[in-house]
This record gives sequence, structure tokens and C-alpha cells, in this order.
Amino acid sequence: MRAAAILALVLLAPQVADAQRTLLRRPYAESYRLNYGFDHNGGGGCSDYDCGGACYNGHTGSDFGTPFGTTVLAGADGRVTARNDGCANYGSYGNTCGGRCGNYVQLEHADGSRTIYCHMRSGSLRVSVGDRVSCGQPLGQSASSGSSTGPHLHLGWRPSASGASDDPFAGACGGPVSLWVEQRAYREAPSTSCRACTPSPEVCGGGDDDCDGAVDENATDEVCGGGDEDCDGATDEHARAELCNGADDDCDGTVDESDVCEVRLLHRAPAAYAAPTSTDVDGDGDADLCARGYSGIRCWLREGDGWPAVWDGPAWGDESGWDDVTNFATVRMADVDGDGLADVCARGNRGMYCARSNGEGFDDAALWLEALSDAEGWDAPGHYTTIRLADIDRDGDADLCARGPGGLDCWRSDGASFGERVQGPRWSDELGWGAAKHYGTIRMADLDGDGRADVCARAVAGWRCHLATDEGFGDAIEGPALTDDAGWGDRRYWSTLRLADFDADGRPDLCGRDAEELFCVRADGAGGFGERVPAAALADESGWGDESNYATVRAGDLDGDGADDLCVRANQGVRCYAYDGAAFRRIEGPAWSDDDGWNAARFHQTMRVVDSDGDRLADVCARAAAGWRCHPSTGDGFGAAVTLNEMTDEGGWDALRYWSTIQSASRTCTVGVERCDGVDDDCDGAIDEHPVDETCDGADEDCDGAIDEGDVCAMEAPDAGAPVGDGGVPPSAEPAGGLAPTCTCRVGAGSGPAGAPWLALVALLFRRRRRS
Amino acid sequence: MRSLCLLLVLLGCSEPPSPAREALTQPAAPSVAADEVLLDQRGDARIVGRVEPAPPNGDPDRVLTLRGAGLDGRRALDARFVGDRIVVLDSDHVLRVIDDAGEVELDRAVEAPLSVAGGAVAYVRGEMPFFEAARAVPATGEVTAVADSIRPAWSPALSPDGARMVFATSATGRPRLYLPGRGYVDAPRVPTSPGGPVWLGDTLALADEAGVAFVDLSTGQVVRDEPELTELVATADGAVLARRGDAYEVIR
Repeated sequence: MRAAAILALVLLAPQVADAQRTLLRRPYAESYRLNYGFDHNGGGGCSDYDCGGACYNGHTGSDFGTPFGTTVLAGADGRVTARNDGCANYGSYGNTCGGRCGNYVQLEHADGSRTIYCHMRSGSLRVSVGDRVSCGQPLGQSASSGSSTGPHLHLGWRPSASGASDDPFAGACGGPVSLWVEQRAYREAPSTSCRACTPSPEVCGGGDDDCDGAVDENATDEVCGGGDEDCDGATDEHARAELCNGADDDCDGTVDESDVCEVRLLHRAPAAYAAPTSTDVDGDGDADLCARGYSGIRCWLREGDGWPAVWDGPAWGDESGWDDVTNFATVRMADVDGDGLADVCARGNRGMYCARSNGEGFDDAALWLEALSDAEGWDAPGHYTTIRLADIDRDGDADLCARGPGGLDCWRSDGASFGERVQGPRWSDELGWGAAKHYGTIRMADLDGDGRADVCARAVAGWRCHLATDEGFGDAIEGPALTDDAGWGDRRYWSTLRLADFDADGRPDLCGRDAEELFCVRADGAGGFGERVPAAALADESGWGDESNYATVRAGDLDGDGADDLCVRANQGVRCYAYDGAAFRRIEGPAWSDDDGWNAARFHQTMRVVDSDGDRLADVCARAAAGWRCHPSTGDGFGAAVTLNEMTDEGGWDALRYWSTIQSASRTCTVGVERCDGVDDDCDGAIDEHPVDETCDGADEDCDGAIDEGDVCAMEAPDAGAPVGDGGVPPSAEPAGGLAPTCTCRVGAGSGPAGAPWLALVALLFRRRRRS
Repeated sequence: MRSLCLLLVLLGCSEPPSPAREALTQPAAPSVAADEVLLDQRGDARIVGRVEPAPPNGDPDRVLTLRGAGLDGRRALDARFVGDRIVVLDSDHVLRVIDDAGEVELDRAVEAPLSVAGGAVAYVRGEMPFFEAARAVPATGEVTAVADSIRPAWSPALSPDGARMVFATSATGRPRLYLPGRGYVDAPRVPTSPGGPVWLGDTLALADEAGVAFVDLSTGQVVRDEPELTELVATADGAVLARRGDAYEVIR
């Protein structure tokens, strides 16, 4: 086959030397490998370019493992010479449509060579015959049309219109010269670069410095603009939008003003301040891994020791405008329809969209709320970064909350849309909440154990919480004095604030880092906070004021004791801190050091503490250049990395618009007492189980829809012991979500004290996760 | 006795005539295994192909392991009776003619499916996807390109007398039918099934992802739709069979 191609080359005029050949880039953005290569064996059997067996007899192209819907990119500049659109998306083994190629695009390149892209998606083709296309330009999407046994991209190459097909890969059994800009390891996807390039950090200069095929990418929020501003004080003709780079880009005499660095930080870490409550999309109890790639949302399903299956979610791809930070920074995951499966939502320009998991994939995305639109000003970071999904009404559906110009509002989920609006705290722009140091601290968790997510944030005068009620949100409850005056307006501190239950009492506490240390403040279970407990001396003086360190504070239960432990990345690697009831002890984490490049935001900001393998111990995971990796917790340390060769730098995931959207979270549940309320209050996976006889306690124990009916209070009062507050069950001994405080009588003197510790034990055992 | 007959059929031998069979005006419609396809039938002789398993997410040739008509074990893409000969499109894409004198190579770089009528065989050839249509006469070895400017061509069908041809093409950017000498026919359905279409008078019986359809070659309209049926077989006996599950039934 190769010989035939060479012969054709010789016969054709003008001849093209290999050195003059048009070189190809990878015809898609992701890192999908070569499934089956060109067959270089003229007889039976097959031999790929490296003399391996990754091919089949007579194969005249390269089959890349692109899933359905992957955007197919032009391998080089060229002109469209043929196309076909109209074959079914799924052909079959031996299907003849489109000459077996299904829907296709053929390009002619400058050297006369031709590339053809087969098995594409019907209706997806974006070019017409005669169109000029540039290297990397989208041509359409991949599918399985024509003769195809499943979604993939067949790339064919021939040296001329009449030349025989040949292999662009070079190898011992292939050609002597690769036709790729950069051919990589055996069967790995070639480079995404359109031309030979020596990579260097991307800077604003109109060039593709990092050789990724994009020019000045991430200019507003990554590396572009570093210190090369040129304000001459006269005409300021070089003025441009201020960037976080230590320079006065807009020539106004100030550096990095207007929260540019704060907003950049928020863009980098949405999963830290708006953490998903679950990413278990298939309901098997494992934390799956989801993120937005070039073509849209994709989930890798965790099972056993790896991520063997992939789901493609909503097509929130770059081509449809989702590469806009005001959109991709709002990707959130939670169970919005109460079916136990994690769904995915995000803000489009018209409003909030969600795609529900159906257990076998995602339904089509739908507009759940026609609000939060660009037209209403929600494309401002002070608004779109505050979007949260949390269950404020205890119905099992995660609701939508966000801070608009007038304050925080929530919209209740009805399982199919976000409907009724609930007014939250009036954290308005007018009152100063338009500053990142305030809106950037909005956190939601169930502080009082009633099953409703409450909301907190840092005001000028300190931490404030508002408890969710049946009607909306209550008044502000003052928390720790994390005031502006005390320096908490500095992003090195406020950005580290987390609600995490460090002491396993079932109530989220407030943890964070100030100039001296990492610490937690105990919650009182009623929205307030008390004792401060030091966790670790992470002082600015010792370098912890570096964003690559302080911005990595994460929480998760590493040792299965029911408490959230804290992890943070030092220059030498990750350190974790677990509370043992008296003090925090240190656990060494993965050695993700500066020397190994982990001080780059695209790596350390992807750090997640999540039970990825279902053993009830949270693992430490992050994206490295070579892809996703999780170090499984052993309880007092971490094992060797389990890796997924996806989300690699090579696959283009070093761009903020992709890596910042990574979501991975164990299914969490805040344990309470099971009530007859249609909710799994005790986190055991069952709803309203074990109805018992009604007692006088303000709850519906027998699940008949009535509370304290049948004169139970009148009957039991004579036998009741001392009223609560007078020697009865002390509030602090009750488990989270404990008995409603509205009833003034108890079943019996002994039942409260005996029952409360038992419930607390149950709470500890079942806390955090429920499994199907 | 019946078991013996079945065994003989499986071995490609002629089944002894039985009164019941002799009463039929059409040949029997056979059943095959789920991974088998019927390629042709002449009297009691059948050519059956077992579809070799394919790797996922690729586009390998659909190779069949043949049985019957003395072709047992041969790996091929298609095979048909043509008069007293057999044409076999082997897995190396070489079209060969087999007769009493032996085997003769007829053409190369040939793709399935084949269409046989009037002593001729139609097919497409070339390199994916820009195949051209061709017509060969096995008795003489004559091979002729047909409308070679219309590419890609696929799934050709010869008219009942073997004189004319229709095939599908995407030469204009979308799948259409093309009749050399007459031009394009816009039809909502075009043949895409591994089994080829069958030209029946004024209509073309074809199979695609949606089942079997009968398309009026004058208007392009679908005049009959059989979504439960899949592959078509035009047998050397003159019958047209279609597959329903693992069995074939006579549709004409």
C-alpha cells in the first residue's frame, strides 16, 4: 500500500518532497487514542505503522476513538472538495451509505494532499464544497454513520486526488516520515499544534506561544498580559482591560484593581466554593467524574479501580458559546429532581439550564429558569459566581440560589424546573456586597440539622448566617468576627472559608485560614459559632500567602470517622489534618510539589478530596498534565495513584475553560432523625422507613400525615418527666436534625437520655453517605 | 430422513425432492442462525455466510465465512450464482468467477454487495469512499465502468434483464439514487444495508436502517414500507426474499 502511494507520488507532477508536505494536527481537541491504524500488510492479517496489530486487514485509514458528538477539526488549512450529509448517525457493520464512509468531509491541502473525515454526524457538517478552512477549524461532529461498528473518526489521507491512500503515521512498518506536526507515542493522539512549534508560556502577543493551536488564549484570566503593559502617560494608547498580572494594564495608575485577581481566583475554583453535593450520575454510590470539555459535559463513571464508562452530557461546547467564562464558571452538579442521581446545571445566556441524569445517560438539557440572563446583568462575576444548588426546603430536590443585584434569592426545584422564588438575605450591590471579598464567601450547608440548606457569608463586620425556614430565610445570626478591619478582606483569607464538620457532631463548622494558621470554629447547631480550634500553622510568614497553597484548602473525611478533615497543598506536597477529638493530627498526602509543576493553577486548583472508590474514605484527586489521578486514602495515609488518561494537557485540558469545571464529589447526606417527610433524613438510603407509633413530639412518627394526633400529648403528659430545659435532654446532646423543639412534653423521663446517644451513634455510622 | 435432509442442506447438497416441496411455486424460505446471512439460493443449493465478529468502534470489512455450493470455509464479502457459475467477492476484494474449469479473476478492489441479473453482475470498485459503479459479464470476462464520474457509488442493482443499473450516490453532497442515462432520482430512502437492493419492474426494493422499502423509480416515492424486514436477497431462482428475525420470507 505504501509502495503504491510512493509510486503515485513519483508519477504525479509536481512532486512534493516530504519536507514540503502539509503536516497535520490532531483532528479533534481531546486526547482520544488511535483505535485501529492503516494496514501495511499487503496480504492477510494486518500490521500497523509500528508493526503492531492495532488495525484490521485492508484498512486504509486511521480510526480514532472519538465518542459520538466529538467536534471534528480540520487537520490543516485547506479547501473542501467533497462532503456528504444524510446518512443515518448509526450505520452498521457493512453499511454502504456514503461509500461506507457515511457522512464525510474531504479537504484538499496546499501540497495537493487530501484528508477525509468519515462517519460524521448527520446535520452536523459546518462546511460546504469550495469553502476554505483553516487548521483546527471545526468541520462537524463525529458519529457512527456508514460502515461502522461504533462511534469513531476515520481519517483518511492520500498524497493527491488520484493517489492511493497512505498512512500519516511513521514507524518501522509505516512511512519514513510522519505527516503529523508532532507524532507522539505509539497509538497516542498526535499533537494539537498546527505547525512545528517550540512551546513557551503563552503571553499576549498575537502568537501561539504554547503551541496549542490557540492564540493568546485565556487572555482575560490566565497567563496573558504578564507585566508587558505599556502605559506612556500621554495617550495611554496601549491601555486595555485590567488583568491580574501585577501591572497597570488600563493605565489608570493602579495595579490589579477592580477585583481582577479575586475574580480570577473565583473562576479557577468554583468547585471549592460551590462544591457539588454529588456527582454520582448513575446512582451506584461511587463519585463519578464530570467536566466540560471542548464539546460539552462529559462524565467518566467510576467503577472498581477505574473509570470504564463515559457519558456525554449536554453539548455545552465551545462551539455553542460555552467557552465564555460567564457560562462555564457556573457548571454545577447536584440532584435537582430528587431521584438520587446527580444532575448537571449551568447558566446559559438566557437563564439556567439543567440536564437530568436518567441513570443511563443525561436527558437533553432544558431551560429550568428563564432568569439570571445576560440581559438582566447576570454576566457580572458578582452574580454568576454566586450560583449554588442546595436543598433549602428539605424536599430532596436541590434548589437554585444566587445573588443578584438586589440580594440573594432562591428558586425552588419542582423536579423539572426552578419555580417559586424565595427571597434570601438582601446582600445587594448597594450595600457593598458587589465586592468579591463578600460575595465570594457565600456558602451553603445545613447548619441546624433541619434538612434545609442555610446560607452564610462574610459581611464587612464578620460572618453572618441565615437559617432556612418554611417561609424563606431567617434573620442574620452573627458569627466569628472575620471583619474587613481585621484583614479578612484579603483574598488570602476569605477565599479559604469552608463549611465543614471537623468534629463529627453533624453540624458544619466554619474553617479557614488567616495570617497565622488554619483553624476551625465550632458550630453551635443553631447558626452560630463558638470555640476556635487551631488546625495547623499555615502562616503568611512561612509562605502560605501564596495562591498555589492557600487556594487549595479542601475538606473531606479521609479516615471514615464521620468528620471532615482538611487538606491543603504545601510546596512539597499535600498535607491533611484530621481532628481526633482533642487536636488535629497531620497526614501526609501526595507529593504534588512545586518542583513537579503543581504550583500551576491548572493542576493544584483541580484538587478534590472525594471518596472516589466507594470505600467511605475520601481520596485526594487532581488533574496532572497526564490526566486525572486519585490517591486512595488508607485512613492514615494514601496509596499509589489510580489514573485516568483523560483531561490531559495534551488533550487541551490545560485551558481554564475546561479544568475549572471538573466536578467530583461523593454523595453527601446530613444525618438527622428519619421523619415522615418524603426525605431520607437519616441517610440510610431509605425514605420514611420504620414508621412507629405516634408520640408527643411535634413529629409524624406513624407517617399518616398528622402530627401528634390521637391525643398522644394529653395521654402522655402525666407520665412525662421534667420538661426540656429543666433537666431533660440538653440541646447539645441531640443529634443533628433531632426532635422538633416545638413540643413541650416528652415520652418518658428515660427515653430522651437513652435515645439521644443511640441516635448520635447512628448519625455517626450513617453520616455523609447513603448507598443504594 | 428429515434430519438427513437438513444435514445435506447444511453441507450444500441438494435435498431429495419431496411432494410437499414440489407443490410450491416459490422456493422455500430458509432460516439461518442469528450470525448468518443468506446470500443466494438456486434450487436447494444455498450460499450462506456467517458474519465474522467485528471489533467495536471501527470500520472493518464485513467478512463472511461461506458455506454451501462448495464454498465451505471460504472468507468472502459476497457470493452469488450467475447462470451455471458462481461469482465470489473474496475478502481480499478480488472478484472471482468459479466454473467447472476453475477460478478466474474478474476484477479487483471490489466492494460488496453484488447484484446479479441477466448473466451480469454489478458492483462498485475503488477506494473508500469514492467508489465507481461497474458491470461485468462472468461468461466473457468483460468488465465495464458505469457512469464513472458519479462517485461515490454504492449498492448497485441491475434491472431484471441485466441491461440497466441503478445505484446510490452522494456525488451531489447527499444520498440519492442515480440511473445512468436518466439521472438522479430523489428518494427519501436509499439502499444502505449490506445486502443489496433489487430492481423489480418499476420499483426498487431496498433495505436501510429503517427496514425494507419499495421506491418508485420514476417518482422516488416510497410505495411500500416494511419496517420489520431487513436484508433483501434476490435469488438465482428469481425469488426475492427478505429477512424477518432469523428467517427469510418470500416477498416476491
